[in-house]
Amino acid sequence: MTVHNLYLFDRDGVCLHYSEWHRKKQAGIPKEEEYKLMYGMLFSIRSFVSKMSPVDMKDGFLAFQTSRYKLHYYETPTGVKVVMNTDLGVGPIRDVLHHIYSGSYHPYPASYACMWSWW
Amino acid sequence: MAIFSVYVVNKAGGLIYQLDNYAPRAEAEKTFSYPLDLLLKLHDERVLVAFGQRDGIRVGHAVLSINGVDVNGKYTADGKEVLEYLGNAANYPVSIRFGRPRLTSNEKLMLASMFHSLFAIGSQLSPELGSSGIEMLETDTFKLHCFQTLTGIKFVVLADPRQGGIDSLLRKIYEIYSDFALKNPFYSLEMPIRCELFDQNLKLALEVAEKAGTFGPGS
Repeated sequence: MTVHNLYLFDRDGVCLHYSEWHRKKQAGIPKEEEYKLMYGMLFSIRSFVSKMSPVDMKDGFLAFQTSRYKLHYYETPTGVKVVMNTDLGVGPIRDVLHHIYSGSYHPYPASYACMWSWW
Repeated sequence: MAIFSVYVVNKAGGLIYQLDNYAPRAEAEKTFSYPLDLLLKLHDERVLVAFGQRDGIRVGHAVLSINGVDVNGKYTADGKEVLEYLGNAANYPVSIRFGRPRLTSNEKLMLASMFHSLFAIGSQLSPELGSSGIEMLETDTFKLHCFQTLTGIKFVVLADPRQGGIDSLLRKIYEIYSDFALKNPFYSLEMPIRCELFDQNLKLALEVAEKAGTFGPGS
């Protein structure tokens, strides 16, 4: 199981965090543009999925895969989005993404009073 | 276990074929008295629930029929405006049916083009070399499978998340497309597909896929 990279977005589309482990191909555009493109793509996929769905959805968009990688998505009720790209052999990791949010992001930046603006 | 719909998108991102096979619709019909405790709003030529979710009626559901008569967009079948009709206390008690709004053909066209772009962006943002576009998109209520041919035509199938055999179904749809659309002398490339044999064979293929789950060799 290979993890390629991880993005964290807030509800306004600002990229809060990006980590890279094994990435063989860059997007070919500056990092700022790449974050915007990624957020835009996720926003469009969410809107697309809510219109296409035959019945009312509970969790919404979960993941997508191409011939080489799989993108996993998790969104909190406050609008914070955790996005992870892995290789294809990975099953549902929603709980892992939730743990990244609640275990790593939530207790530390959230407890700093000066970080209130991020929410 | 069902296959909900099939879309065929051409090289430019335009929708050239669409089939709705199975649409599970969650609808709720209730009788209301004045004043209506739901907040309705007009959006995109439809009357939607904006607030007051309860009893199977969710936010985003549209007014489908009033007193058993189907509603046409924002007008009732007799041509009266729905919001005006429901604002008038004299029309109560009234029985209204709510449900997920059906997609109009325009919306399907827009969604197909949107998917065409998302497919390309999925390939551009890939952290690995040589990635294709989005081949499978997963949500909790459906799975979207996409197969792009060498000529740029995309076959998109929306199915139940537990439905199997979609990969072979996509290849089968490609076969049906080349047999009944491409070999049809009156069919022009990249144009909407209006071939009866294509429709018939596609419906047969969907039935086989739903029952068997997979296609055998040589079918």
